[in-house]
Amino acid sequence: MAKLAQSVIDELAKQGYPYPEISHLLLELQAGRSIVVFDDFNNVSRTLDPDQGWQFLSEWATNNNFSLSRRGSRRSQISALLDDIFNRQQLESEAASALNSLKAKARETTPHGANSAISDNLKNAEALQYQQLKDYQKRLFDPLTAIYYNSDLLKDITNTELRTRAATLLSANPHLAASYNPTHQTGGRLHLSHQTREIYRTLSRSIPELAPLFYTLYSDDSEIKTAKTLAAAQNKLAELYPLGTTNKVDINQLNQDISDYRHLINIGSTLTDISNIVNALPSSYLTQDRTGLDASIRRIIVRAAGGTHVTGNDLLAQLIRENQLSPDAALKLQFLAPRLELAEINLRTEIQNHPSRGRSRERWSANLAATIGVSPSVFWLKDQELDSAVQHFLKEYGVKSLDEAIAKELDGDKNIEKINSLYFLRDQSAQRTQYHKARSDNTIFFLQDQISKFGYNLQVIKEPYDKASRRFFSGLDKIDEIIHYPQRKLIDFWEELIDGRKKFLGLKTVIEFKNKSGKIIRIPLLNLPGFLLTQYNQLQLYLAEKVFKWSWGLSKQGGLFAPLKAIANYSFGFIQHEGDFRATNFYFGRKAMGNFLDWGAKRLKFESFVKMQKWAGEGLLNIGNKVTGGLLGKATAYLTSIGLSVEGIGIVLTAAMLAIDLIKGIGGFFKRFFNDSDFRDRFLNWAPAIGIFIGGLGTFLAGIPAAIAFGFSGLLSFIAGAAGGIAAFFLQGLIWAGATIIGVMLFYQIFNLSTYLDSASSLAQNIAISVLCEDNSNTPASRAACLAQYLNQCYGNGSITASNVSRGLSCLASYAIAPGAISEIRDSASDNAWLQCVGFVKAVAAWVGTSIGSHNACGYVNDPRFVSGLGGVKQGDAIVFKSSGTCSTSAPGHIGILKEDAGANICLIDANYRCSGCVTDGNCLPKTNVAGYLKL
Amino acid sequence: MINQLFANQKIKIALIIVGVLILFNVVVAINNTLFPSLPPISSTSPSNNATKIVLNQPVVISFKKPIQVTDFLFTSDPSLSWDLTQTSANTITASHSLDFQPSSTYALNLTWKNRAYSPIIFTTMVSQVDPLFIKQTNDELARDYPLAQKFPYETPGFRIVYSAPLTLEISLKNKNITDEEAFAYARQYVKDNGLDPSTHKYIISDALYIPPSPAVAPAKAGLTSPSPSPSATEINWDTLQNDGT
Repeated sequence: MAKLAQSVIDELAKQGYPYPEISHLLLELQAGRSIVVFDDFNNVSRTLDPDQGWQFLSEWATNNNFSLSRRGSRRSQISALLDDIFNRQQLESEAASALNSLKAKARETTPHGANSAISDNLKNAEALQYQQLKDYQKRLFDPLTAIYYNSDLLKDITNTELRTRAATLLSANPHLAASYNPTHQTGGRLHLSHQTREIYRTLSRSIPELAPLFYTLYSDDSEIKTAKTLAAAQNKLAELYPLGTTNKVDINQLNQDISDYRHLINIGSTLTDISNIVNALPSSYLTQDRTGLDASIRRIIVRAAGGTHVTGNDLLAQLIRENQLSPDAALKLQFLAPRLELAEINLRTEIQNHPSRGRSRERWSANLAATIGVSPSVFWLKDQELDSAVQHFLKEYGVKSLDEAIAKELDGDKNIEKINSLYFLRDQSAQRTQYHKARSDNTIFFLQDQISKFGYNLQVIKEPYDKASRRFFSGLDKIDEIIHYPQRKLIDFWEELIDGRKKFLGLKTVIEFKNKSGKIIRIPLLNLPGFLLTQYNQLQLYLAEKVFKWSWGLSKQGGLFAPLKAIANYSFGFIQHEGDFRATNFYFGRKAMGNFLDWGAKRLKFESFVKMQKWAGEGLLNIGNKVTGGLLGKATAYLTSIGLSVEGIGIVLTAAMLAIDLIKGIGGFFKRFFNDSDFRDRFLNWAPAIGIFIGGLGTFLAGIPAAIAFGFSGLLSFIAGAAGGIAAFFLQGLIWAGATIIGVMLFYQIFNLSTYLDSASSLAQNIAISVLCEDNSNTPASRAACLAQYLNQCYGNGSITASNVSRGLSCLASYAIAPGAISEIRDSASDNAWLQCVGFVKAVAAWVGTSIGSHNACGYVNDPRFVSGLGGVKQGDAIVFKSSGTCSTSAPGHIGILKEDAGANICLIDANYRCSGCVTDGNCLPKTNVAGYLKL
Repeated sequence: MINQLFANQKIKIALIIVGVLILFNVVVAINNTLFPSLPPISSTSPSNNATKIVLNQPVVISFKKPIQVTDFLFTSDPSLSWDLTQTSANTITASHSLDFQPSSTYALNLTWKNRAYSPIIFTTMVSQVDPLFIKQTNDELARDYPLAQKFPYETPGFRIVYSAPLTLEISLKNKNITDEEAFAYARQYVKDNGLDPSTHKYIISDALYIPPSPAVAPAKAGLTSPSPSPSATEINWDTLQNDGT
């Protein structure tokens, strides 16, 4: 087995894995077996030998704040870690129950928004949660302001101050801009012209200075001008790929330039447009871009899941689902916000920073409950809470709607806290209604809801039992630990004896000698069976290598020898899998090697694989027949008949064939799904039922081999193992098929704008990405904010110095920051003892694809891009401050990126001001000493 | 007897030598009492003529014999504020709250009982930080904008920023709250951040105001002749009678 690079193991250890999976891997290691780990980053499975496996798991444990004793043998450390994981699971469960019971108590006594009886703890928890949401929204809407500032919508406002005010207004009032999509400026402008007018009108009323300008803008001339712009863009698009035809794009027109591709993607407004473009372009240079895009988003998601007990894929699925369900951009953000905030910040920091060892369980639970508030996978304000709060206010005011209550309060006491609460509740209620509407319109989610409810009820029934059972086993574990302590020590001792690290009665337990070829042979006298097994395995590998060379050489001659290629491939697979027949069969089955399948079929008394296929069924292209009984009946008959076959390899192979057959069917399904709209519509209606049926079928089939296996005993018991292999194949094939169908459907729903999403979906996507700091808008302001965030994450919010700068570089690189920007950070810190303000600004410039000269901060007044004063300044410009004396190396002044204007002050994203080498997002300084700014 | 002794030439010379030695010691003792010698320095950090000195590095001076820190006076050129502490019987440490300026040559002057040592001269590292600028800016922030890092403070109803020293401008976004309520909010916010609200002035502005009914089209006249700038009302809370809100 090829050793994995250390960086790969480090990367793996940062990802999120469910606790049961980690426990399973630990048990495998304890049994001395290799482990298979799914790499979320790269979407591949990786096999780790026991040493690397332990390295990975111990790193994972350290990353997740499980303390390893580093004493005793690996076996005893694994036992301790398993205990710790179990304890932490229990703690999390208890924390969630603690909070839920607190909330339930609050609901029973006093509704949300009422004054007294809510306990202090709950208040604190909610206050924290609210604060987090508020901070988060600030982070969210600042980038939004920048987007609006730079949008086509406001581009005609030349006065910077007015433009900033207009952008702020729009970002603070998302309902105003909900009909406008700044990412599709050209297309959106004409299509939404009447909405644009409304936005202009509203802005005019708030900022009267803008009224004359807007009046000119939405005159007919302006409409014509905009129409021309749009027509030009559409012509360009049509030129590059003729819609509605099967003609290919003239690639020469794209000049092999990836930016053209990006440009087209940007102006293509539907998935159909984009897929046409993508299909038309040569795969050679699409791969690079598509992979890059996928990887960047994937990395963020996986990183967000890192350290939690949710895998990256699960989190991604949840995010996309929550995001796409909500009908407008602002609402999407609100759905996304608490989810991300809670999952990424709280779970990762709070859980991991509080190791279970050495802390009281109660304190840990209280911490978690106070900061997480609710399970991160559910809406943060529950239906019951919302309803009871609304009812409370309606009763208090004696009215029928919250609007009436607001009006009454405004006419009466004008209690600002109550007014704010009422507004908040009104917005939440409206959003909730839309959310539920979106869900109820969607068959599959309706079904999922029902299943979830059922699961929840089941959980309520099970909870007391689980709790008691956890306590019982926890107690049992402690007893077990004491009872088995001597045994563990003995095992440690035994392992050292076997390895030859210790002597037995003064005698060596390992014989060492050199064989003829000079290789050192070590025979552990106390583990001869293990030694012989290893030797046997090596012999098999040796023979497999010979067979491979022989068969590969002959197969190349073709003709009669052609089928030997399959044997060569099988031998190669066998070598690759280190002599593991089961893994080789699995691998080989998935490869769908025709000749070898024929060979396998003949072993089962069929003329060929095709004949066997016919016997087994018509394949998934006829899935309709199969799911209505054909497949089930035949599969059952087939599974019963294999009990008579003793060719284990053939059994597994045939099972693989069925799985492959299913997969082939999926290929046909894809084609039809995307090409035939009637089929698609019918499928979307039936998909939930199909998905559930397939899942059930898989489970049923998995049960059959087990039942067969029960019928065997004695020497035939090995068939049980083979039958288990079949179960695995069936399950994998069927579940894979089911998951693929569901996946395609979700994909279609998410990206098909006309079916489920409004035109603002790409805005929401962009904002969601901005939130995650992988902003497609290459503006200095957003880059600076991201860079500050990444630097603080990679260097633990501390100083970036010459001595520690290299430690965080790989972390920075993992965020897909431009290499030039990373170099600037490294050079600045290395050359000047710590990161400098100029270094940070240069890094931001490098990231947005430009560069500025090297000066002292105050020396930028001589830069060609320098503008004196603050007239025309905008977010993302580099603000240059005057020197404390005469501008020189002894008094270099300061420089930072403009985050926002704050009246008499100016807020920056900068470095090396608040402390040496640290980065601050939001350092507000007086404008008094500003010399001017650099346009980046 | 004595005369006989002095008559002996050798003894006479010996006695003279003894006398001279005694006299010398007496003179030395008097000199040391009246004019004590400088405690010899064993080492300094930074050392004389050192370069690339880190900007926040304290100065440490070690002597060959025990000293009293109160006997010393420490100055520098360029001038800095120094804080002397005795860190051991033979060592004093001079700390400076304001960092050295980068790429600058400093001369440290140490006197002991008004007697000066040779200055210690060193040059600081190259850096792009300007400690004096930071100090001046922080002084200005503390004096004129003590809550600068807390603003802009924004809610769905208003936004508050400093518009001038110790003056907060509250921009209302809608009419859901009155000016008085906004003032009360701002005052409370200042108080919540540990300052006496009366230290600040408060101004109301409706620059961000959005009317509640977007469906109504603006009047033609309003488009051709824009409204005047947003009105601003200045209130000095020191003179406001009703302080209860």
